[in-house]
Amino acid sequence: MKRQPRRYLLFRLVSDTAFSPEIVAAEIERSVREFFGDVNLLLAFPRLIAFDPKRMMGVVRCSSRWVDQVRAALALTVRIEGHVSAFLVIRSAGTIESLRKRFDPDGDWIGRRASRRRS
Amino acid sequence: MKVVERMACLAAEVGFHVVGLTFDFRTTREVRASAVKLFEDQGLTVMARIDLRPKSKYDLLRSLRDVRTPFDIVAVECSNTQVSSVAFRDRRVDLVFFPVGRLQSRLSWLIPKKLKRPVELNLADLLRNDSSSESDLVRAINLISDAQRKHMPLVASSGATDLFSLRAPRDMAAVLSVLGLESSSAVSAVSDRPYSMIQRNLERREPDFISDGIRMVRRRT
Repeated sequence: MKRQPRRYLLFRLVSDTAFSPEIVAAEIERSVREFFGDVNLLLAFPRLIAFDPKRMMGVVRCSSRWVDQVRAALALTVRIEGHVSAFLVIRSAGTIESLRKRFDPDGDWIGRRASRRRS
Repeated sequence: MKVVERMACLAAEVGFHVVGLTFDFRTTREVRASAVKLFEDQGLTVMARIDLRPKSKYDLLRSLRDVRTPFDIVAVECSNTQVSSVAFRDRRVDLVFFPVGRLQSRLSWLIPKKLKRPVELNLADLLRNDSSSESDLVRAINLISDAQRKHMPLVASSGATDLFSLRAPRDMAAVLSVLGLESSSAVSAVSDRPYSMIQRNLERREPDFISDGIRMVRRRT
């Protein structure tokens, strides 16, 4: 079976407190489920690929057909664990490499480069 | 001012090119100039905006006389049919918006048949985290379906009052699209439509401008 094309969303999390990647991942899943339901959550398949608590920036991967829905769910999120927060998508890309080149050229937080992984 | 500075940085980061800052009559020139400068330092074009909340049409006409020159964008809240019938027709009005939180479920009675002004949907109205947020979403869906049925131009804005209510332009388009607006219309609601309105208002600032469609070509020597 052919794999569904994916889309990567680079976001900034604005909040008065810092969150761990686990909490952010759970919140993304919760907000997509809240607005679109369990079945659509499986179809959208949002996954937190990277999150840097210092920069408060992260990358979400989702199905390319569901980008608008995932963006909307992130935009309509107003609280994380009782703290006022906001997700703002800065960039959308078809490959994680293009995000890495632009926002993390040193490979500090979006993850290691494919070439490095191979070696 | 620190919050405003952070908002300016964030707005530039998420892809805004032009921002409308809402002031009122009481805002002093110094405060206005310093707020504008903070945004301009981030490379953003700033338009001064005023939101009018008139109770009657006479109230609206009186206010319009005073605000057209000092403000680039004039937005009017339509809380009753009297106000909406004037606001939708008057050339001095750039945008009309409805008080989503207090609006009845059917908006049709507020919207006149001949529409000339774009209707604004504030995303901040949908971001209230209380029991009424679901009904606000339903009202927004009704507004969007009315807009599509009546071929009414729709403009989306963040309506941000702090850092937490700011949203990226593409995120606002995604929300509109999810609420039922066609994808291309949703994108133009945050890009083409507000931009053309701003271009028209920027033309008014030029010294050659006389009226809509009339400009001075050369002075008599």
